Amino acid sequence: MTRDDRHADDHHPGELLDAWLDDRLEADERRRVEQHLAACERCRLQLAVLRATVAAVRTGLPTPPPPPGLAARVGAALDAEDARSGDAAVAPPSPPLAPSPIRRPAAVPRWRWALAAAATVVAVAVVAYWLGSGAAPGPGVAPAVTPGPPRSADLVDDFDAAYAELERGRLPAAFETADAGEVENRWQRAGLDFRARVFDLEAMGIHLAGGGATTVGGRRAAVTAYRAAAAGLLACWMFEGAASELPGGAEVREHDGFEFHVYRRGDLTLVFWQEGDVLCALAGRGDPEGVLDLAVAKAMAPTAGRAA
Amino acid sequence: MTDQARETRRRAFEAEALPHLRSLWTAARRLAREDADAEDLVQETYLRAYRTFDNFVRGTNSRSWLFTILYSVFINRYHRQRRAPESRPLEDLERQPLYARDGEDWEAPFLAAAARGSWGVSGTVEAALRKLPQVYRHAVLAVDVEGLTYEEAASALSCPIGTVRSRLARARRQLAAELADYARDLGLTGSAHA
Repeated sequence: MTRDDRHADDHHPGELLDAWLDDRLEADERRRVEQHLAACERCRLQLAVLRATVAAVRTGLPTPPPPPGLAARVGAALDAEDARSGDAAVAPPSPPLAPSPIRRPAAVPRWRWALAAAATVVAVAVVAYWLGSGAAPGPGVAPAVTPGPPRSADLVDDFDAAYAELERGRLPAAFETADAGEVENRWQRAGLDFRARVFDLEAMGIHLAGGGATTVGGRRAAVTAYRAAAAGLLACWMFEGAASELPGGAEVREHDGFEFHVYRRGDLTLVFWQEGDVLCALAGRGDPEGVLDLAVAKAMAPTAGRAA
Repeated sequence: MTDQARETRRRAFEAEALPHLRSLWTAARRLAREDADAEDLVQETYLRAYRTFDNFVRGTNSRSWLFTILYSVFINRYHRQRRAPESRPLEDLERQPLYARDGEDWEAPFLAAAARGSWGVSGTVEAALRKLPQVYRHAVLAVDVEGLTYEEAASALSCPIGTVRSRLARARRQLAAELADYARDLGLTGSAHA
């Protein structure tokens, strides 16, 4: 085979490899590419290169923390916009790109919580730095504004069922490991490209049992399972989603800018909370407050080194 | 609009848009090299989003919506104002062969370095990305890093979907070749080009 064979032509997929990788092909086209891949070593090599490149760029870029005044500055710009649209005669013109002072006279600045939230998100992002940032290209053809993942009839039921599967020992053997790095590698190898992390719960006597990439209710999720002598199985999923997709009936607890949505299914407690674009779910039996406390502790876990 | 309606709208906007502040900042910082430009970009994105919030369909992906605005603001404002001349004209780039570095066996050392996690070396990926023509860099950032769909990227980058696809394909291959160079220069691969 000559080097020229690698150019896109009648025989080699060329750009279609990218489309295949991004899940952008119709079924028949996808089949053709896959048939070609099965027979062509050079294209398989190219595909491996593409996949590694996408993984590198997704995980290898720095994520510098935002400057401390940014949230306040944005808030002030929105205040100015409100004032302008509310009373054009009174409101001063708002130069959109000029750094605007905070003019809001209210005693409690509306953006105080945003600052807190931003700081927490920084911490979360730093913990998950190794995973880089950014979400996956959504598969399939989508309109300019893409709907999120399809709503499940009841997200909580999906995770209730997923927990039961894990508890029945159906954690695939391949998922079992006590090595957090190995779990993270599995997520990476599976192409999970949202922020996820393994909790270190050793200090609480809770040990990592395994983890990997999974699907719950049609959503790709990073799952980790932990075991504690007292509490049995504890499972955590992280997946792309929004708290707004959660069903009603939650008890909502707030801690430092995080909202924890607590559901009870029998003696199972499921706690959901949002970390950026990722929705986290923690499930365990036993003391519901214990599960919630764990979620609170880990959602706000201080980050080593880079957090400050 | 009454004060109360404005307040409700503002709260709804904040609930949708604020959780993305940090990721918008990160994206802005990747597009604009200077912090000051990135701050302007984030502020302008929020303002633009706030002004058009009534067009946003609740329950859809607010992250994609905001990122599309961010890219669009950048491309239309900062980028056009301040862009450095491309080393090659755009038309030339579009005609460039798919494989930036044909005739060299760089793939195997590249994959060896990737398997070793060599890109963890500080700044390696960023430096490689900076070497790409801007239109390629933007395609990679929008789709591979920020996760926009091809359609969203096309809208954000003001170009047809086919152009996104083609730029992305070339950008990825060129980026791989640049990374292979870094790996070789840093001795990460343990071997030079074959």
